[in-house]
Amino acid sequence: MTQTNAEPLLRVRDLKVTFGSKRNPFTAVGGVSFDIFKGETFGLVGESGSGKTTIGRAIIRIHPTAGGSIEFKGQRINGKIDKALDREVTRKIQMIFQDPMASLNERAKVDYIVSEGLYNIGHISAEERQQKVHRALSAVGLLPEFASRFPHEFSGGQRQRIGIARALVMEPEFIIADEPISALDVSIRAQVLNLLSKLQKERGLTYLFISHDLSVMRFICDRIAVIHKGLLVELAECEKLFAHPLHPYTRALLSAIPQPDPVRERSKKLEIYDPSVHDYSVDKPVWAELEPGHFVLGNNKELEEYRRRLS
Amino acid sequence: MSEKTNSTILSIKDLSVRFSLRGRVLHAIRGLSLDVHRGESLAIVGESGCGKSVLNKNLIGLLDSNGFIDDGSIRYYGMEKDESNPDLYGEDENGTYADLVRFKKEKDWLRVRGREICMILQDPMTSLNPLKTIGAQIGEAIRLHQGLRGAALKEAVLSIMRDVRIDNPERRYKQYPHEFSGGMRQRVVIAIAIACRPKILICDEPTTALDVTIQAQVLYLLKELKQKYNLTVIFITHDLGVVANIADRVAVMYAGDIVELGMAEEIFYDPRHPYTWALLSSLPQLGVKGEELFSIQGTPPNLFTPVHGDAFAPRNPQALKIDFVERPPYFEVSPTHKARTWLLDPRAPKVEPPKIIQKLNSEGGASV
Repeated sequence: MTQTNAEPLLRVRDLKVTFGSKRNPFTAVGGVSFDIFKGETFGLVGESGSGKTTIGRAIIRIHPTAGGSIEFKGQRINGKIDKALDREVTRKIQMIFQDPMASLNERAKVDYIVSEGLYNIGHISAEERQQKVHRALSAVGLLPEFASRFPHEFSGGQRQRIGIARALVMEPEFIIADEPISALDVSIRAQVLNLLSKLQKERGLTYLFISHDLSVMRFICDRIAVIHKGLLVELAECEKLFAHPLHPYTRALLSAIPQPDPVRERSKKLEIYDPSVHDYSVDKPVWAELEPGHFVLGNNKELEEYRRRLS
Repeated sequence: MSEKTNSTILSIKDLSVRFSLRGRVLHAIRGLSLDVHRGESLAIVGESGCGKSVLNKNLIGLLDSNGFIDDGSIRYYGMEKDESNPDLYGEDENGTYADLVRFKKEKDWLRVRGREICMILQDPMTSLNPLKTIGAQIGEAIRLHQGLRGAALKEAVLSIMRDVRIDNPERRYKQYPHEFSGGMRQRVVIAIAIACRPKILICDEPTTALDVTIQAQVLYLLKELKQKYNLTVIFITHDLGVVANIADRVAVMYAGDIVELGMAEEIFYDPRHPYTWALLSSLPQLGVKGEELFSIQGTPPNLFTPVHGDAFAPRNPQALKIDFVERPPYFEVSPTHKARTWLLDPRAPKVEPPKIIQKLNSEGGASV
């Protein structure tokens, strides 16, 4: 890992998010810690209900946090913060949503959809605003003329591009992409993935890429964190995770990736994760770094076993 | 498929389906022919809007009211002749068949839908009734199709719930759909379909709305049930990556027609149609990190206007001149593998498939 000494862009420590009443809370995220470095793509993978979207939404201040800290460029951004910082955070952190059919306002023109965020950051002239919209649209490969159209006139892939343009227009440094391609056809997925990596190269963006599909993650992510039931179970560099998955849940996820190869697929053994294999009654699990940059959740006995497997 | 005779359960010939939409006519299925063999699992793969769902809705008489079949036949060989309605049936070298194109009345369809051909829809969230318990919904299908009542009915429901691997069926029996997760709901939908004891099970994108881990488990379950209940499975999807596991044969569909058809090994290791190449190359599983992933340029053709030549030609960078003029016929690659592309014509120039596919071929083909 070359980035270990670099200052993380985002530092999440022991983040907790709960829903429901104070007396009877439901813990969606139960204390996760990770760093995201500048310019990387950090993947967060887990099944539905694991809390991966909740983490993304907590970072962008949609969900209030119940504990822990989120620091963006060294400044704490969760909980009560002053207005100026709040404004900066909304500007520097943007989000791309899953379903382009549902996340665009059907009754607004593309021009307004893309520029809506600009209205919130103080006064800019109409001309400047229009210029920004046109630049954002061309950056995602759409024609500036499209600004005067409505979302229903576009195909799924084009709509997702509009969603990306909406994030780009704010000139963010950090983009949270919440399952940006799950709702798209395979052929369009490729276009959107290419666009995301192109933009990252051009603008030095940092992504938090949330998905349930490890095959896509392998293609786009630098580091991957695996989350299960609100807890991170493993975090490693992408290739390392694929080569030496340690936690049984990671292994189950990996075995579920469909391969376009009939012979190998038919002989594949599916691993199913059963949380009851862990005996945490006495020996509590800890989040430990087994080799540089490779973290895993386990109790002492399991960690020993994982270490043996690594060496 | 050892015996040649009697192995075809469904035979679609020159099917053409059109929709009238605001005074214009859309040609959704353009002269499609396909044979489905008894006991196989066939995957139909294509982008959204290529007509794969329309094709399958024809098989259970659920075509939208503005759609109509204007040519072709769908012969289903699994059914006894209904003497009160002899003109719906016919006979040919494969035996007695029911011509599903001639089925018009709802009463006729009730003999087919469910008990002969059954369909699992994409979204398990919307295909269950939220007001009835799971047990009642599965029980309804069993009561209608097997005529069981009372304790015997309940026992049958529990046994089918065990078959689709729903844990603790006694407790789950009394629960409502909202108490089930997405994967479990899909299992319930599968249980209802199986309870009808169909001969053909059509799965329309059964795993698209599900997580990868759940998807793998549902696919595994479908494979298991296919064995146990001796089903013929037609599997519709847009993701070629998913079908490698489950399909014996793969049909690649584009713009209302099948452009390539072959055994799974042939389609994955030796694809011939440029559209199949494009679909395979755009899979992220095959992509190389840091490089651009292959993506198909352009959009599928507008089917309101007649298509000239090969429908994929405008999006195919290597299209030949003739591709824009004349529709290619099927060229046979092997007895089980055919493709609609002029590239297979002996006079065509040699075009190499993309590198990614050659790699897949050398990796997987070696183990064949």
